[in-house]
Amino acid sequence: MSKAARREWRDLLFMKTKRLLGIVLGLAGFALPFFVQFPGLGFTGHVTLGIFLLAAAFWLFEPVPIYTTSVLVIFLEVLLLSAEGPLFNFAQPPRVPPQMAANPGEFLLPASALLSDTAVFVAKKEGGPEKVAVEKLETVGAQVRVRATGLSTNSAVLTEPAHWTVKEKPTAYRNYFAALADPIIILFLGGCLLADASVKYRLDRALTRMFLKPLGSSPRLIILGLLVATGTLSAFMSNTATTAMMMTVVLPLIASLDRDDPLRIAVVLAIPVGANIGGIATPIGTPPNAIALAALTKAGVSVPFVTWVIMALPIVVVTLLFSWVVLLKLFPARTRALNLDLADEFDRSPRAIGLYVVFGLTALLWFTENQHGISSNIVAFLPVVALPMFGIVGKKEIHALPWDVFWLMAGGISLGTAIKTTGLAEWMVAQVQWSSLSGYGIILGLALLSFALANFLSHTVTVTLLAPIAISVGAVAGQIAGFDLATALIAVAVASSYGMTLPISTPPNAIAMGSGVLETRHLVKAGSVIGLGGMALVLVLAKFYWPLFAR
Amino acid sequence: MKPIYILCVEDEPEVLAAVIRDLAPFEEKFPIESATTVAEARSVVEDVILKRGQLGVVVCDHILPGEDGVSFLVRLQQDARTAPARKILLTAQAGLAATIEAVNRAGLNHYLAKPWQPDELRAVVRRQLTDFVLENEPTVFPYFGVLEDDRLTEKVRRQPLPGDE
Amino acid sequence: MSIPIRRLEHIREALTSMPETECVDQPFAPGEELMREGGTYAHISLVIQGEIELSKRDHEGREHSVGHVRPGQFLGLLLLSSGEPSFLTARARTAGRMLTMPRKTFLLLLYNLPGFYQMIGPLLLGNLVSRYRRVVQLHLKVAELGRALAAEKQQLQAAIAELEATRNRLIQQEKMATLGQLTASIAHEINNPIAALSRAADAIEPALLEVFARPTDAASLELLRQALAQGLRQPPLPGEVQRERIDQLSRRFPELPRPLLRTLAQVEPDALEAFAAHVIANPTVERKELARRWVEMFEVGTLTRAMRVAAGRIGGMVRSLKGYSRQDKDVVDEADLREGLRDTLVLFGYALKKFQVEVQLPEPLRVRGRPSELNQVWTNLVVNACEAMGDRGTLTLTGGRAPDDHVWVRVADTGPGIPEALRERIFESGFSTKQPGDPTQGGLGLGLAIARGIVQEHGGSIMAENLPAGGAAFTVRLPGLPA
Repeated sequence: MSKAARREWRDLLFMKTKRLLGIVLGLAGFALPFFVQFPGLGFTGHVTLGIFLLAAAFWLFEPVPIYTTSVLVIFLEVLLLSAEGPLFNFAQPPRVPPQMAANPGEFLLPASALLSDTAVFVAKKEGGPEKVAVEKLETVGAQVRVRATGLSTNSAVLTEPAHWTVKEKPTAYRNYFAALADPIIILFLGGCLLADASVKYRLDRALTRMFLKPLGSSPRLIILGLLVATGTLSAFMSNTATTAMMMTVVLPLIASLDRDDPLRIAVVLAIPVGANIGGIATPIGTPPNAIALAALTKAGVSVPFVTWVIMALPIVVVTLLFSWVVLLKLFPARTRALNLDLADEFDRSPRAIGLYVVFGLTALLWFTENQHGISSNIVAFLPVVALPMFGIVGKKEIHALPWDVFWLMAGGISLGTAIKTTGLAEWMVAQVQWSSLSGYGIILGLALLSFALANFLSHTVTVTLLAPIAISVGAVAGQIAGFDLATALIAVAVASSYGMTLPISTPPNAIAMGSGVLETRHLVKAGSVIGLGGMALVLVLAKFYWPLFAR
Repeated sequence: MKPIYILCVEDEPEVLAAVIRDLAPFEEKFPIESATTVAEARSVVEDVILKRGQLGVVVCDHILPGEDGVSFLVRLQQDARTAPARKILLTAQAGLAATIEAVNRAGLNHYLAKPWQPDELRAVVRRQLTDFVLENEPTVFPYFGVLEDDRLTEKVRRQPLPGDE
Repeated sequence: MSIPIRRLEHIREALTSMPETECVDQPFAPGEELMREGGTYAHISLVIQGEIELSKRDHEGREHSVGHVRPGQFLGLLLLSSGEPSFLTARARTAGRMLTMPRKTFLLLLYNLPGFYQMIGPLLLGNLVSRYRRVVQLHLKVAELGRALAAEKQQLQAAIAELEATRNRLIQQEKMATLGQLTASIAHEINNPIAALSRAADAIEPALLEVFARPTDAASLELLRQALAQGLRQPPLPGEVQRERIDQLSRRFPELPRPLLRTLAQVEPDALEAFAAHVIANPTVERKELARRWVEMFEVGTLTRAMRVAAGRIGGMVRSLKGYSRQDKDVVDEADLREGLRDTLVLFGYALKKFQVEVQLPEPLRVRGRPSELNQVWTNLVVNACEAMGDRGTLTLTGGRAPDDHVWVRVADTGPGIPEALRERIFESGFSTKQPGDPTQGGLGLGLAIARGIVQEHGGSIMAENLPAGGAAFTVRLPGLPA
């Protein structure tokens, strides 16, 4: 068999084994809580643990696409954890409507309906059973007469208030579906639409030209210019889209160079590096940032758009400069001059002007959030309304939005919610002797774990898996000195973006490899050096800079 | 990713060598195979090209010993595995009837008369390879620098923007 | 001169009233034959009423009217002096009367009876005069007819000359059509070596510049010289072999680009080993440079070889062309038919590419004739065979000496053959089996007619037949020179 065919078979076998393993582990993890009782963890906590293990296995081994795992998570939550889901619906205890007693405001109820002498539970149309205060007046055989202002003959009073389904306090199913339109998702949606419109009107090329033209033809400066341009674009476009667009710019540039000139490698590497780093700068730069923000919001910590930028910008700038030095050192250019021939692509048509206005306005409102107090999520809806309304984008751009990424994020967000509300988070935290660790040590560990995982896994999944842990620790935050929830989550998110060592680490890396210019060792060398350097900065900032923003 | 082949069919060895030499700039990304008769060309397609990759462009003379070039191109068109290939006729003499058949039944993509200008041949092959790549390849990044870059760029830009996973 | 009726009546009365005249009043009916040519008659008659037609037979037996006898004129006048048979035939045209008397009596009375002479004499004279006049008129008419004849003869000659000229023009056109086909074939045939030549020349220039871009020491020069010698020696390899070698080399040197491997595949294995050892063993920068220049020099060698081959082919074409169209078309010469046949095949090489061609001409075929005209015959037969076979087939050319000292040449094809009904007619002028109005088919239908004409002029024959295995064969026989 030829070498190529052998490689193909090996890859296929590897893929199949991996997927099989994922399915087996996932199902085993899901089933585990049904067979093993963890003390201190409620029923819904067990179910959530099962869902979490299943999701982790599926996300790690990818037997199915990761966004389908995300919607599977939501679906399982609705089925098994929501009040209207089959589990809680079927298992519901019987209920009866109260009978009118002689006096107004007084009702006759079965005696068993009383939880204590002062409360009964009423089933709601939506959500779990609700406690209603009553005043017991007298017992009449099997019944009791009570006075209650919160009851009517239409109420559905549970006859077994001690039923386990009541204790579990299931939440309404709409809360799980709501993750699909979480305000953070809306923030991301607005950002994506702005990015799509920018590409449509060639704003990305205009910006690239703007950055590169003044730099002339010095290869060293051009590398820097590419890093800055790519980083800037990636701050509001997805890293992957930025990489694709910039590759179409640089690949023709290097066509005239010698086959063995290292400058080719440096130029092509600058793109995924710049894209990965630039995505750190804003909440909309890449999904891990949004997941972190969503988790923080659920935990009651709000980080405005501009605050994130201020926290992230220093590390972005320093890492870009560091990357510049690394690329120049590792791949010194052989030619003296590289001629760029970028045409003027600045669109001056009315629709393009409209785009610039909407973009500028949105950005302005984002950055002045502290002044006017309108949440950046709300501001993000401005382009969603304005761009289609003025014909700047149409149905085609709406259809072209990355709905799979939105679902991916929604799955992560809803999983975080479930972990929190079912008490799994508290239980997970309780398993570890956190007190023996310093707050900073925990952040260090989480960041390094995030970096390590992100080199092999999707960054979004990495943050999705680690955020609940951070949130859990934050739940006992008061007990651990030096632990700031915002710092922890931002460290986790930023560290994940530095996971760029391998071609599989992140789609921009894969695209760069696909150009045929790079060999794996080039990417690994540069990616590991820059990634580790970035991680070092993360650890420094997590100690000294980010905690300054804690409230 | 399966390599895309260029096939040259010409019975005069000196002319064949000249064609291959002219197409040398493409060889790095698009390996070139050659044949001097239709029978040889068919075995090259079957045993080499389709086993290792796919047929992208055929540059074929018409007057050949044995079966002629146009009927070979018709056969390629009728086989689903080679139908997507772009077909170029490079010939000094093909009568009107043969040319009509080539256009209608073989899906001829370009007709070049001998003697040819090397720059024109390269431009035609570049155009046809770009057409093939745009239509048949899921990702076009590996082909920048040797094909028509602006058309490849347009394809990338027109696709829905990928999001980060 | 018309005699008044009264006078004639008067003469009739006078004559019939004289018994010594022995005159008889003889009526005649229309159509009645009064005298026959060649017959003997002893009478002379004077017509009183009616009209008599005189006629004579020509040497083919056709009767021609030569005159009339009217009232007042004599019948049998010519017989008066001689006793010869009648010169003419007399036939009455209308009813009438004439006075007939024996000749002897008439003469007697004429000479002896003055009154008779007075009466008859003027009549006689008048007759003679009118006859004489008639003769003169006939002379004039003959002269006129003679002139008209001469003029017509001239016109006819002019018309013949024009027809002759038209025929020559048509033949010329047919020749031109054949020449057109020939030129097209030659042009395409030459096109390929010219393309190869010019492309090789283009490619040599940068290769040479590359090789001599740097100063070279003696040892390296020797290596380069060997590379050039290798290249000059090496003919292009068949595709199979080349492909195998490229595969082997790509496994051995995976880092080399494919165009380089293609060139290296052409080098003889021994030389390649030496070269490889030289480079692979010491991969210093200078050695790599030398290796690149070695390969370029080898390329220069193969390109030079290719140019030489192409130029040789063009030269061969020109030679055949000169042989084919020898300018001395009117001079009769001795020649071996095989040369003309081979020249024709070479010149039509391009059109014959898609067919199998078999040639069996073992013996010399010496004839006396006009070689350029004979070449036209071969061209015509070969072109017809190609057109009959369409896209594929076999052309067989055979020839030899027959026992009767004739030489024969046979052109056979594997086309559909000649329909039996048409076999006799294909050599006719204007006969063509090609559809008129079809622009892809030329032909005025004169080709085979001209071919036959040429062959016949040379004293030979051409015939067509269908082969039992399918296809047609044309055989030309010509008188041969003694071996």
